[in-house]
Amino acid sequence: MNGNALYDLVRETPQIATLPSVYTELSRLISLRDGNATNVARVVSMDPGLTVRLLRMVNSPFYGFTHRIDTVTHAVSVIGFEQLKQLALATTVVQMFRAMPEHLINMESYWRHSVATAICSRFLGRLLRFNNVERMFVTGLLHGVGSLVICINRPKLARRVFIRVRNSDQTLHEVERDLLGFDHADVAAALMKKWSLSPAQIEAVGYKHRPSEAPKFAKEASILHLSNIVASSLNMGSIGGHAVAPMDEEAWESLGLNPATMTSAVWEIEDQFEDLLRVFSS
Amino acid sequence: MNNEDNPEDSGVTEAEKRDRVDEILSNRFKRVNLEHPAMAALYKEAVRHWMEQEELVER
Repeated sequence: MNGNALYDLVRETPQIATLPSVYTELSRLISLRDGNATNVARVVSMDPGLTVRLLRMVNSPFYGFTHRIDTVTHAVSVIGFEQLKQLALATTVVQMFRAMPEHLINMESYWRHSVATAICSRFLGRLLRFNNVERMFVTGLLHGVGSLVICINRPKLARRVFIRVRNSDQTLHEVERDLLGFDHADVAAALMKKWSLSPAQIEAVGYKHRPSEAPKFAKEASILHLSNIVASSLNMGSIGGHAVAPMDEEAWESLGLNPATMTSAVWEIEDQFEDLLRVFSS
Repeated sequence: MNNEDNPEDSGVTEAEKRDRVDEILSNRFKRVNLEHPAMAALYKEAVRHWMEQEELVER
């Protein structure tokens, strides 16, 4: 399937093709670099639900602040503009897919896997001294949205995909490629491009199954690839298939990690999983 | 004491639980190169994780 056809698939899903105006305005304001915390708080306050979700998140044990953060202005001052934008994106997208019909995919299982992948992505980003670890968190959280788009737009094909995944040794993306000619990573990358997310996020998701081939953001793609593998090995849900994908060993080498990192990554996920799942489920 | 401490309480012995975990993980890791040190480390940790699950229901 060519790029235009992928974008058509995304466009055919109007309920998710565009991000809510509050988020786009927040993103615009922060990208101008002339926003101040008061302006950002004013924009966020246009969506009371977003305000509550953001504050719940920054007050969760995930951040570990010893004092309570009661206002968006305060939240900006402690986590920064870009991080706030990423958290707003995360909670916004989770809300957008909340009404997803569950006859094809178990959404609880879907978000469990996404949250576990997100925690691991953030952990590896921090270990590798990335500047914006929240961006890695959100990349992990959203890496499977292509699967949801396929379920919405091609439900009959999605059903065939899931049946074959259950009855074969193939991974989800391999079956999608066989039956659809593209996979959920391609769809997610097209959707994220439509949302004007960062090139690093788009490429990481688009190349998560073949990270060593990523042209510019191979490290981000490799982190997501590994995080998906780690999450798939645990009892923490799935986006449509339980098989752990074979690891891209070139990608592993390129990150220069120690095998013991795998143990630490699992501990990090287990430590933060329930708290974060609660934040996104409420 | 919970079932994790004494699996017999749930009618499942530790050995039976380990067999079931091995079955789940051998299916999940079927195409993974477990000779690779990173994947060997992950497999070992996954066994520990699954053995600590109260119920072996894949979620």
